[in-house]
This record gives sequence, structure tokens and C-alpha cells, in this order.
Amino acid sequence: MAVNLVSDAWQDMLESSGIIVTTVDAVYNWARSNSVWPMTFATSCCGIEMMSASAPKFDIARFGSEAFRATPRQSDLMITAGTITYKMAPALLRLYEQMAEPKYVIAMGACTVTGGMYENDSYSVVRGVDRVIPVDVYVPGCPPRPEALLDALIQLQKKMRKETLAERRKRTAQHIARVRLDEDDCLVPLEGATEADFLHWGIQKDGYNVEEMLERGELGLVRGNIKHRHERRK
Amino acid sequence: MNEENKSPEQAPETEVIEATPAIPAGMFGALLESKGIAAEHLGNDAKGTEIIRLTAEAILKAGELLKGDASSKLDMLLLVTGIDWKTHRESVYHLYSTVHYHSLIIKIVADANDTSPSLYPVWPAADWHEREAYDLMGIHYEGHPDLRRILMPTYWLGHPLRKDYKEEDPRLVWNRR
Repeated sequence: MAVNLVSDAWQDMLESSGIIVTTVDAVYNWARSNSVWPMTFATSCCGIEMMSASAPKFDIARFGSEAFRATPRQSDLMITAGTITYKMAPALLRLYEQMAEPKYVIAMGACTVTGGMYENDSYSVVRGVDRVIPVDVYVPGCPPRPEALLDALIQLQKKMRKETLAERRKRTAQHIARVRLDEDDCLVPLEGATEADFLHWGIQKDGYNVEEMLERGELGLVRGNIKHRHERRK
Repeated sequence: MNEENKSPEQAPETEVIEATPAIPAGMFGALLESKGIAAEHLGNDAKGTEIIRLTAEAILKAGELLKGDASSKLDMLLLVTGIDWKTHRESVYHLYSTVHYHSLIIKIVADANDTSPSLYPVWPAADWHEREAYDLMGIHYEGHPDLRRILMPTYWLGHPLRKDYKEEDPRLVWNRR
């Protein structure tokens, strides 16, 4: 469960006076990484694999994540299991915003990583959930096998143990929302957002300068010659 | 076997003669004509189901007749399809009788404004089907009690399954590839 042990002001005061709460963090991280509560969020066929992962044969309970919650307020982890459409995206954003910090996202399946087989010419599918919310672990596959989801969970646990809550807070603060809900319940870009802002958050959070990469044409290599196809469509 | 032995010169003549047979009225077409409702007979589909095309003026009267008449009793609307022929739009209604276990396909061409009469007064099952055809194909059903989008979000612009559809909503630029 998500509890802030020390408030931001306290954390800053302690850090500025040279006190680091490492031991508490280590114990706390050990505890919370071994009881990640996922939210029940399955929109299509990946959901079947997610259910399978929580069923006895694969048994996600071995890694402490068997408590699937039906409310975002009690969840630490959102597994986006399935295609996200324009109509579903506002609900996705709302649910993510309702989750308590620190919160994590596993993008499960090709659809939520890049749009999958709907990426090329679908009129209704969001091309990767990381255009809407930040993603911690990407699981490719259509759908991924339950073992892949278990592996993603283990990777996420490693990630949770590595960073302290303060680091996590800073990291999430770095993520700038690029879309917002307008009065029609439509996801629209924020004012001042450029094309570079809508490309994968995973690239951006790792410190790459996306605008420079776009200019140099390197991003096509990362996302599979996308710029070329984009121009051909015009 | 005799046809295979014909010389190639004779073949075109026979083709010309055989290419213009008037499609005979099937059971439902004959029923409609006996009541004075004109129907265009389009033959049968692969399963032998009769296909007829009706005009917008005749469709509601014909629908009541086909649903109520003891010999047809087409009391169930299975599905509504919209077709985009680029020049015009067409609705296809698949009907079935739970009494006689036979079926019928009715086609109605929408007018230049993409308007077509709703079959909701005859078959209430047309409600959501026609909403779907309106949502994705842009056929406006006159007389429908609640014609609004059913699959796409309410803010959507255009009808995505049309041949000439292009998604150009500036609000959705964040999802361009």
C-alpha cells in the first residue's frame, strides 16, 4: 500500500541537513515491492492472459501480486491489458489519476506498447498508452504469455527496490502530461505541445532529446521507419 | 457435355441471349406484387435466400405486410448492414421467420442526402443496428427514435467506414503515427 513515510517538506529538510533515510527506504521498498496490488483493468484478449497469470497454474501470488483490486484507490500497479481506443482512453487517464502514489504501469501486449496491429491505419486505437500515461515496463506479445507478465512484474519489483520514494517522486514529476480531457470528454493535446511530445514517453524519460532525434532522423530507427510512412501518407 | 462441344463462334451468341433473363419474383416478391407493392427482384444469394430491393416509399408498408402476413411471418430482424457504393449508400436488412424458418434480404438505396426510412416502427430490433449504420456509414434513418452514435465517441467527426473517410480531427493530433 502506498503511504508517504515523510512529507516532501520533511524529506527536503532532512536531505538538506545531510540526513538520508536509506534504511527505512530499503525496508519499505522490500515490503512494497513484494506486495504490488494490481488494478483489474483488462480491455481485451491480454486480459485472458492476465487472468491466467493469476490463476493457479502460473500463480502470480508467488510474487505477492495476487490481490487484484477493482478500485484504483487501493492499487499500486495498472496493467493495461488490451487495446485502448479513443473511447476508452479518458477512462484510462481517469483511473490512472485516481491511483495513489507511488503508482506504476505495465503496458501489456503490442496494442498498448505501440498500437500493435492497429498501429498502421486504425481510426480508433490509441497508438501506445504511453501517449496518455507514463509506462514503467513494456511487455511485447500478442498477447504475451503469462510468464512474460510474471517477468515484467519481477522487472518492476527490481525497479521499485532500486529507487527511493523521493527519487520516484522526482521521476514522476519529470513526466509532463501531454494530453488533457476537454469538456467533450475528448483527449486533446496540451497547449504548446509539439509532435515530439507525442512520441514515446519511454524514449523521452531516458534523457534523449526527441526533437534533435527527429531532426537527425534517428527516431525512425527507434520506431521502425515511422517518419517515412508518416510523410508518405500526406 | 453438349456445351463443351460447341464451336467458339457460337458461344457469344448464346451468351447474349442468356445474359438478359428477367429474374422471376420469388415467394416474397410475388406476395408483395399481389398486394400492389412494386419490388425489384435481385435473385437469390448463395444459400438460396431471396433478395429484393424496395423503394423508400414502399418499405414501411411492405414491412408491415411481410411481418404480418400468415404466409411470410418475417418477425425477426437479424441484422442491418450499410454499404458504401461511393456514389450512394445502401442499407441491407436480413429478416427471418421464427414460424416458417425462412428468410429474406431487403435492400434500400439511400437518397442523395444519405437519408433512408427507419424500419424501427416495424422491427424494433432495428434501433441499435441503424444507430451503428448511422455511426459508421453516415446513413440517416428517418423516423428513428434515437439516432445518435453508438460505437464512436460522441465528439467524433465523420463516419469512419466510408470509403472517402479521412481522420483529420486536429484534437487527435497526439495520436498520429
